[in-house]
Amino acid sequence: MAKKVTGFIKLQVPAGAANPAPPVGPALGQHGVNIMEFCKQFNARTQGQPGMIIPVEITVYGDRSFTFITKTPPAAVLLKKAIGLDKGSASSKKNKVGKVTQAQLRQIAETKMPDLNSADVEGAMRQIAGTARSMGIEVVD
Amino acid sequence: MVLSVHLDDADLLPLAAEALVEQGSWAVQEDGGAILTWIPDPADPDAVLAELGAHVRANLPDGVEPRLSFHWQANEDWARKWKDGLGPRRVTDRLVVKPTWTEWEAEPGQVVLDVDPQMAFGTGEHATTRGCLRLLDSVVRDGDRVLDIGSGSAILAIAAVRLGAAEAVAVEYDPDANLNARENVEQNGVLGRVVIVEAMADAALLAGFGRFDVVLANILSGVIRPLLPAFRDALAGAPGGRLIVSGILRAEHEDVVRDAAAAGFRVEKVDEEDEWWSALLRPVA
Repeated sequence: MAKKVTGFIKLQVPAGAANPAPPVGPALGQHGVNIMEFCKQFNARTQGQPGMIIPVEITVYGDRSFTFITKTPPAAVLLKKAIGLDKGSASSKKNKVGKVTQAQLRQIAETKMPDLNSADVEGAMRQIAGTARSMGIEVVD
Repeated sequence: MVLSVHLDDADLLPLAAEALVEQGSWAVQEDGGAILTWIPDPADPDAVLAELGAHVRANLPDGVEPRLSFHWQANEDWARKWKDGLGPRRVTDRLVVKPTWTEWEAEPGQVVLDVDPQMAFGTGEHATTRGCLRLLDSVVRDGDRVLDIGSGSAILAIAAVRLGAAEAVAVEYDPDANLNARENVEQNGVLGRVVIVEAMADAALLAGFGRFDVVLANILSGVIRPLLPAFRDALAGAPGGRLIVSGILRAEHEDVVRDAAAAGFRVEKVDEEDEWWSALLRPVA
């Protein structure tokens, strides 16, 4: 069909828990999107990831139909979970708050690959390592 | 109240989002280098800002300072308000498209389609859909066999059958759209007469469906043009075969007309609305 994009919305929503309350309602409603249909479809698609906050990108078309894609959980959140971290430390030179191994980096990179602009897992690992360092997490072998 | 959190390092925004969700936000909206969320209007916004700021800070690396701000925005009944502007559309004298929650008192002989905006293109709210429906209404005949390529919500296939066609094959590769299309088929009482095929349309696929009286293609000119020979084959031998194309910008229509002529079609009727060009074509004998 002749799809003309009229809106693009980025949200982060707990898996399986989208509802018309703000900010989902106003974000979609202002574009004339069927809010309940989005919530139903999002919850069905993400119900297998309890406890995760899922980034989602919604595209709205000229006839008020829409599509959405869910992204992988953010690298910072996956890093926190991987090393059991309550919070990070920006004083990264002096005050490391945890360590992430290359194997853990690889696992996170493989999870994130669909959303990263990396040609290979090694490139994705370098991106994840950058986020780890900004969180005060030490990267070890 | 709308709360905004800004961070210099956008990679860390998900940690701020996590803190806000832990504090009761239903979700956050990304807005450039910031995230937004709504909280019930507080009596003392500065105190709430300080409290939420502390929670966000506690979830961030030491030394990363979030910048929180707020503005007032009245919440509305969005579960109702998103429907504003939607209502029954009289596309032709005998064809009306409307959302399911609206009423329309049909005149004798009038066909009313119920289609809600969901995850499939084809709601009646776009000029290309209306252009196809107008052309279809003018040429569909009782007993026709119809092929709808890039069927989206299946609105065109459903309309064809409701206007008298014997059956319609609707081809669409998007599974989300087809979920919506199947609901529409049932909603509009054409189960068994509209068949949805989840596939990418190409010449080999179309050849397997047999002969059609009408082919509908509301896609994009770049998709339609290479398929024109396959459409000609699908109509081969059908007395009075008809092809309806849309999704074509006015500026692109000359290329489509040229390729259609090369494939053995002539333009019989044109329908234009806004910047969109739709046409009824007939195979040249």
